[in-house]
Amino acid sequence: MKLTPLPTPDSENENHESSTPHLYEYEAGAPNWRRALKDLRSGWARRKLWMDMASRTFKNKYRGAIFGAFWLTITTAMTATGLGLLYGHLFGRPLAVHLPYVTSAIVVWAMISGLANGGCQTFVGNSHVFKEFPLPLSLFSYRLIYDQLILFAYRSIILVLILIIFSAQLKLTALLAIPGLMLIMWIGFWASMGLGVLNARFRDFGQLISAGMTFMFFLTPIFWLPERLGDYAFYINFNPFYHFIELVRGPILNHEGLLLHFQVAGGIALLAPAIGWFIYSRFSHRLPYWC
Amino acid sequence: MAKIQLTDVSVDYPIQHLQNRSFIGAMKDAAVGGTIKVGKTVYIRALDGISFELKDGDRLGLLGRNGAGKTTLLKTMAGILPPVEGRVRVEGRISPLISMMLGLDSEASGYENIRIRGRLMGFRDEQIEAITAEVAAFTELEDYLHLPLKTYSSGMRARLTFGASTAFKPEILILDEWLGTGDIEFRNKAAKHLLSLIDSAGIFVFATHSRDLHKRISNKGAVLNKGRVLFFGDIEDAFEFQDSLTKG
Repeated sequence: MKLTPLPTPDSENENHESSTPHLYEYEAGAPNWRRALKDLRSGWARRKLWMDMASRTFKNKYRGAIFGAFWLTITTAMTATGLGLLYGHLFGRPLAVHLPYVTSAIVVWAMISGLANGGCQTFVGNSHVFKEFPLPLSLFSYRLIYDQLILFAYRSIILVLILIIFSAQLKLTALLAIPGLMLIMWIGFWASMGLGVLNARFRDFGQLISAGMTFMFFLTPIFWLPERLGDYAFYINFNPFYHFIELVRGPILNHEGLLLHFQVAGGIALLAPAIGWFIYSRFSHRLPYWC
Repeated sequence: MAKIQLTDVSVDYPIQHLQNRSFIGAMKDAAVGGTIKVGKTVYIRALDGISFELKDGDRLGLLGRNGAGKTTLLKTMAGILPPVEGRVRVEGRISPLISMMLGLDSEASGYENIRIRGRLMGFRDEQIEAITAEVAAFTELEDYLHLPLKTYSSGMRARLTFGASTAFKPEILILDEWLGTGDIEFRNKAAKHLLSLIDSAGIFVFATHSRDLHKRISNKGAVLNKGRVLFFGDIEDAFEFQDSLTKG
């Protein structure tokens, strides 16, 4: 059987996913932002590729385990019940109140720290791919978001169960958790570009972020209440992670002051692209050399 | 119309986290590899001011010792490596056959891997579907295509990756070393197929140490040494130049 090679795809086609466009032009020293913009667009055009990459890696990771990916659900359940039981008792809060409080925060925190730590690995962790095949590098940031979305889906199962068990009274405003989550992913996307580049150049950066996230886990009201800080409770407003957590937990558990959380997160959501984009468009062409 | 233009292209590889720098400079310049530059950071100059143009019909053979910059040059043309100096302009669909195993999933079946490879190379699902049957027949793997890639022998793996990677016809084909894979029968078949692919490509750039292959395929030759193009012209003359270089 003879193999007759197919002509290469037509770039005129709108749905065309192009790895290697008809025209590749690179001039050293020329401003990089236009190229970075093109990179961002072609990264999005190749969504089938990164979705495929993400779901395959995910499936392979849990292949062979009887509970499979539900281990994510189980792990989250164990952490949440552990913290919920212990601190519920210490604070004298009924389990029906404290367990949903902790679980909803744990689920969101897992995504935030996944985005921060994964963001640092965006380019370092994928260099074996883009150093061998021409691909838009933004592809790996898109992939990270998709990775985290899959993980979130499995972790949130336990949140749904706990809300049902304790028959939580959801209001219509609970739906605000969805834009809240999207805000977090939006910020995570741009952060991964900045963090990914910085960690590619300075490897201490990833370690710093990793240590910092563990530190922030305790400094953020995840399993404790901000009110418990007494006079210092006000300072918790300067912790952006508190607002991120409340973007999702607040609507679900009918917390007060949602507007502030959305305002702060919205501000960061405007800032994140500016910073992430600046770093990425300034240095992305150095990534094959740094990784 | 395919076209490749390189203007004063240079590539420096920075060596980060170099622990012991004291030996550099004390060392004699090696016969292989690029020039080592010592500044605030240590760099290897892998390509040094390279300029040339290729147009339709050109089959360029890259000659040079280990570390002369052949693969770096291929990667620069493929758009994998942005040069630190100079300008690269490539018109036409380019297919770099540099790393054919890339992206494959050993847990996925042969058929799935054809799709994976096609997606990596930037093809739409219907295009991949259109070639799947032909690739399947070409690899002669039959029922194995339903089994995960990890059950394949290395030769069978090579059949699959070769079939999937060469199923599409590029305007510019870049090849780092000849793809000699599988058993004798498949090797011959693969060679025939690859030659037809090269034939239909507008531009072909090829790095190998085999002069036999260059004689069969290349019509132009570039001799690289320490990241510089010392000679660019007819392939036979390139051989002669390379010989004079080693003698001198």
